[in-house]
Amino acid sequence: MSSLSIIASKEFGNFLIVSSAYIVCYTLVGGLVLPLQTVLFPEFTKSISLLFLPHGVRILSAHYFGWKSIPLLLPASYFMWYLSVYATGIPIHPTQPLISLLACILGYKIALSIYFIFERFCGKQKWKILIFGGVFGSFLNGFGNSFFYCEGCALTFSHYIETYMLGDILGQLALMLLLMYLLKWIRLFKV
Amino acid sequence: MSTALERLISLKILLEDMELDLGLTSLSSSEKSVYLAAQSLKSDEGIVETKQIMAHLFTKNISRPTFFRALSKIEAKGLIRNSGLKVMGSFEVMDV
Repeated sequence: MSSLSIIASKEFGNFLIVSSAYIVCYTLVGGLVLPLQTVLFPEFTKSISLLFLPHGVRILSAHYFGWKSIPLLLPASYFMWYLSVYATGIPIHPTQPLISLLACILGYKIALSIYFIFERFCGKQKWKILIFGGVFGSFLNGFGNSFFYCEGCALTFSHYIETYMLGDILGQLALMLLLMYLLKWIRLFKV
Repeated sequence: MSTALERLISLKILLEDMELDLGLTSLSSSEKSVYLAAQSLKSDEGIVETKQIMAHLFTKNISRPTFFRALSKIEAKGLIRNSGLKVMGSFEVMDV
């Protein structure tokens, strides 16, 4: 096999892994988190999840694949955007998936670039850098997407950033905890 | 080692660091003693040798089998890892 086809097969494998993870997480949000949220917090907007697990997938992809995470995740992002947003008539702008991916990678890069500050508090622990990256990414995500909600209303503008950040950060933490217990559970069944 | 496997191992270490930090896992008393001894004895580069840990005040009263079991457990938990300086008996101590 030529080196080009080896690279292509590796990238296809990466594409399958991140796309599956994104679709599974998005499905969990749509099928479990959002219905629960509607029951528990009926007054809360239905267009933003309070536990948005795919944010964790975006940040982990940014950590492992860098800028490549954008082309790797873009098809799955638009697929889920089409199914859950466009098809159900939720008013989210078509550029939202692209903005979110860009925001996450920029957020992660910002966290990484000021790593030396965090290192004094965090040591060599990458998980804290991921959390900080998730916070920055979420802020940029909320900031970018709020432009499409805000129609000259400053209150709505800040409200959407806060709501996005809450859902994204809680979602990232929940995903990392889920992965932690999933890996433990897999270990119980190892031969 | 394949890149995918390397990424999976790195993810596992990352999540175990998080688990330890959040207090979701607990070390046994012998594991804690060995880890704390390693932390206190490590060089500036974070390297410590098995012989040094065994002679530490924290681990002097631990039997050899328990000591080596604890050592391999904290290695499996990613708290120490082979330094690469020797085939055996030299570890790099990871921060928590």
